[in-house]
Amino acid sequence: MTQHNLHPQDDEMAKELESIAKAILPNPAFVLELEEKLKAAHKPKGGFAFPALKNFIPALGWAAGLAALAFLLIWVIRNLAPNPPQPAAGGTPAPQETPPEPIIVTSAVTQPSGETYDWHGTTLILQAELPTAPSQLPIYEYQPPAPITLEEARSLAAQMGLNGAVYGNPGAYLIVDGNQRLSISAEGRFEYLPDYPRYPAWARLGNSPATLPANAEEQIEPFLQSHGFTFEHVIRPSALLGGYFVLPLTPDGYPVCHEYFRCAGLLVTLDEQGILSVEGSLVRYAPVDAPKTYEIISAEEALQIVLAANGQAGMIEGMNAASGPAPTWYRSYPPEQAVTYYGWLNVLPSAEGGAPLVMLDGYPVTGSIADLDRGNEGFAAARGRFRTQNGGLVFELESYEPLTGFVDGLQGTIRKHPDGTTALETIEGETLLLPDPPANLSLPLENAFVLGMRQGETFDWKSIDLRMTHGGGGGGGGLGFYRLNLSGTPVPFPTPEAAPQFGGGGGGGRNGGQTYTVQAGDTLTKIADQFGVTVEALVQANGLGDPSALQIGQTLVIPVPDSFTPQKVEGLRGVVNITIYKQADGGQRAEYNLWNKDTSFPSLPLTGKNLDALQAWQNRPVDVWGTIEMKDGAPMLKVERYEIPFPDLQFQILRGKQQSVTLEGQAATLFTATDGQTYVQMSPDGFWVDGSTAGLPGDEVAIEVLIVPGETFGGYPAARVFAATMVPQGGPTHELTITANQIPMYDEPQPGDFTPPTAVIERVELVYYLPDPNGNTDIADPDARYLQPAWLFSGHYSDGTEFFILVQALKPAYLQPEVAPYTPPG
Amino acid sequence: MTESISDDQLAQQARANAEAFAELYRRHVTRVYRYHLAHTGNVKDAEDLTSQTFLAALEGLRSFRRDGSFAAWLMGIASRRRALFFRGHQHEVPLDAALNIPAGPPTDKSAMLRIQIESIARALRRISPERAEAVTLVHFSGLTYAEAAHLLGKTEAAVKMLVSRGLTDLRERTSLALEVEK
Repeated sequence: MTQHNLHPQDDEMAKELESIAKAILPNPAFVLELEEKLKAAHKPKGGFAFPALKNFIPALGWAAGLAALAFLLIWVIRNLAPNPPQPAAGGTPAPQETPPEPIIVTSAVTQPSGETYDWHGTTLILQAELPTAPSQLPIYEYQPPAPITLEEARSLAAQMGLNGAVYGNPGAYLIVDGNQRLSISAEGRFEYLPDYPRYPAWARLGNSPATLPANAEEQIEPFLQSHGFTFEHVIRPSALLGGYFVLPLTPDGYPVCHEYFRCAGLLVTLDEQGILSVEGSLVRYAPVDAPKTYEIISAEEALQIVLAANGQAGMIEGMNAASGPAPTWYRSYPPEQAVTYYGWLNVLPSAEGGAPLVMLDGYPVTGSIADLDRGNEGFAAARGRFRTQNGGLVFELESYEPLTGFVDGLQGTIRKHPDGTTALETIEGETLLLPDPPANLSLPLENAFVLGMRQGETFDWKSIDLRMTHGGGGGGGGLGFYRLNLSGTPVPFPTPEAAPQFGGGGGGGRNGGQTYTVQAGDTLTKIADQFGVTVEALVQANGLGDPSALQIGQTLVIPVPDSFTPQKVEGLRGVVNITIYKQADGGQRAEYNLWNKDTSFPSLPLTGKNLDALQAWQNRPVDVWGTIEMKDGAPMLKVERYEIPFPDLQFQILRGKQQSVTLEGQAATLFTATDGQTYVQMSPDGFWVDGSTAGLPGDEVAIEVLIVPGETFGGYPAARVFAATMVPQGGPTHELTITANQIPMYDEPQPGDFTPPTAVIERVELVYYLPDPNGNTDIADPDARYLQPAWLFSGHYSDGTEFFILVQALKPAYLQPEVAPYTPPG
Repeated sequence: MTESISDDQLAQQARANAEAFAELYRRHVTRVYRYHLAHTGNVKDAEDLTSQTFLAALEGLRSFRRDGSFAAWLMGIASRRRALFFRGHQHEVPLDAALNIPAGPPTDKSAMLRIQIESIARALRRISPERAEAVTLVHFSGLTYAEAAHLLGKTEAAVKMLVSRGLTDLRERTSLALEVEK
């Protein structure tokens, strides 16, 4: 982040904060768990959805390609006419891998028999060979593709045996030859469909229909040979992407891989009739400083780094719980029947001066299309009929009407009714008729997700899938690789003792928040005595698992000393906030806090008798008499008695309009309720001015407030705002309900109730790592362009979650103690 | 390529499509988590608040206006959730989990990071809430000044000023200042 007008020291502080912020990553287990929870809580509310999003993150971009169906995928084309980098001197291409067995994700991991390690509490089983590798390898530099020209597009098409019409504009072309289609995107990526009718484009936006047949190689190898792909390669299944990677090898014999289970190469999907699609991403690169080579660590050393790792730099980790595509059924349209079809109309101009190519949800359109041009693209109600042509369906258009909106996505249970009809019972309680249900649907089908358009009591559906109950989810860890240092002069890495950027700094004053760096000969008792705190407080403040494990150079937080003088408070006004924790045994524990601004502790935990009665005044003012004491370095207020100053105070929902103003030099928001009364918005505790607005100026908003008698700011009565929401104009009224009086309840955290799954490493291999050029990486950064050796550990957790760990293989002499940019997985 | 579909488009789809919401979640969970961790200084609360924030966002998707400020809208929810949730800081869970480090003797690095975060969280509670808010939105959640301004209902200049003052306050109140001044 660029800072402006900051004091130099504040600029330093800002950088320090950001470096700390970057080091904070949520626990992947938590991230996954919450994602599942959110999906379960997701209730489609009759909003609009695009047809089906892919089940995994990287493909989401594909959905955006809806408006340009022809250019859906991703592929580097210029590089396809292979101009493989010349081997660096001394580097002999030496393919080492034999194609592996397909990995079956959904089945339980077979009884592991490998070496077992303790991996920070998780059992890690190594069920793969640690391969040998050269001690030195070259480094390459990625050469980004240039936009493709019409000639290049034609040349690639010819290589693949297509000689058809070319549509599109410079940088993005679609070549159609009979039922073959080759699309090439602006970034120079391509997708080849040998038999387009088997592959309706809009269906492609849903889940991949591909399977992983065992004899895939017998089909892929002849294809490669007959289409001019003559590079050295290995073939690898990808459960995540539902196909097979054909991975070109570097001159050294290693594949080039990115983050998140992706590698550079061709991705081939197959169905029972053979190859369904081929997508390409062959990267072009050149050796750096040829013939120089760089020392790398062995697989064994990389394993030790994995085992010792604490989420540090030099590693990239990722996981994915997806278990392949969710089962999906697509609507089939009987030919020769007049229909109104709701879908996306695309008009692709010819690159050769011919007629444009018109498609409706990917179906070729014939008929009344003479007047259509790009301006007609969009969502439309198309009247006409489907016809069979060249083994696939085309849509013969009679007329169309542009529509605003998208396709509905509804969740619910599909049932057969006694009268023979099939209907979707949505989770909102609606019942909608599904015409032409697929014959092979086993009913009742729960948790179905149906895309289509509402037509009164009928839901004109396009697809049905089981995404709601099907796998999904990813996560990642690891901070990324270090930046490379190819200068020849090693840059020293800070040792923990030196730790210049973080260090503790000896004693310091005796204010709160001070730290102490452990010296030789220190003991916890000695340190505790020195600062006048208890050993327990020291252990607690630092989360020391094993107090005897003090290390020289370790930084300790010194808690506020016990010598705190208890403070009497008389009628301390604050806001009571209560949280209840449910115990495993069914009991409950309530925590009471007083949020106040008159002591040096903004949030004071309360202890004492008869606090339970406070539960009726959640988030409302209370006056407390008692003593502030210090316990284990944390303050608490021992309550002698309390009074409720405003026993009749209740929360309210107000509707009105907001206005941003400046009051007493502060940005504030005035809220004028429908009854004409104007309030100034305050924070829920009433301590500070709430300058936020819920909508744009003039919007009608609803706010949940507490109006405390006598409280004013800037001449206006104050309203403590707990929640605010915009009331959509003309739309359904958004119900804002009073919740601030409710006490949140949580399960008491059980230490150790999370059993980490066992992790099995199924493959260890050397690869060349390149940050995914199709990700968000800044290609202008030299470190985003290096292809460098990395050890790739991949396998599955015992719950079926797939994981990978990339370990930077270059020795530290070629690294800088600074993290290089990359796109974090997940 | 994951960016080729905007947050706004996703937010619209997310009303009907759990996967779209999941993608929004994955894009923004880290910023929300960092924000809450900075304020609470402990993992348990940060995780609770992160959950609450996204559940509330899911409920409130309809009130999101597609004006290109999804991050600001989301952080507004995070901010209100935090305001409702304030709890004492006696209830601290070791931060190792935040760093993906299972329990055990802390390494120097994790211990330092934990100490830094705790120290920041403590310092944030001792400075003006508005400044604390601005600093965490910009420096932990990664909002631009414009987004933070949108959220806080202020001008960009006002937010810059708040951040600047907040940084000064923090510098004076955290042990980090020791290193910064070196």
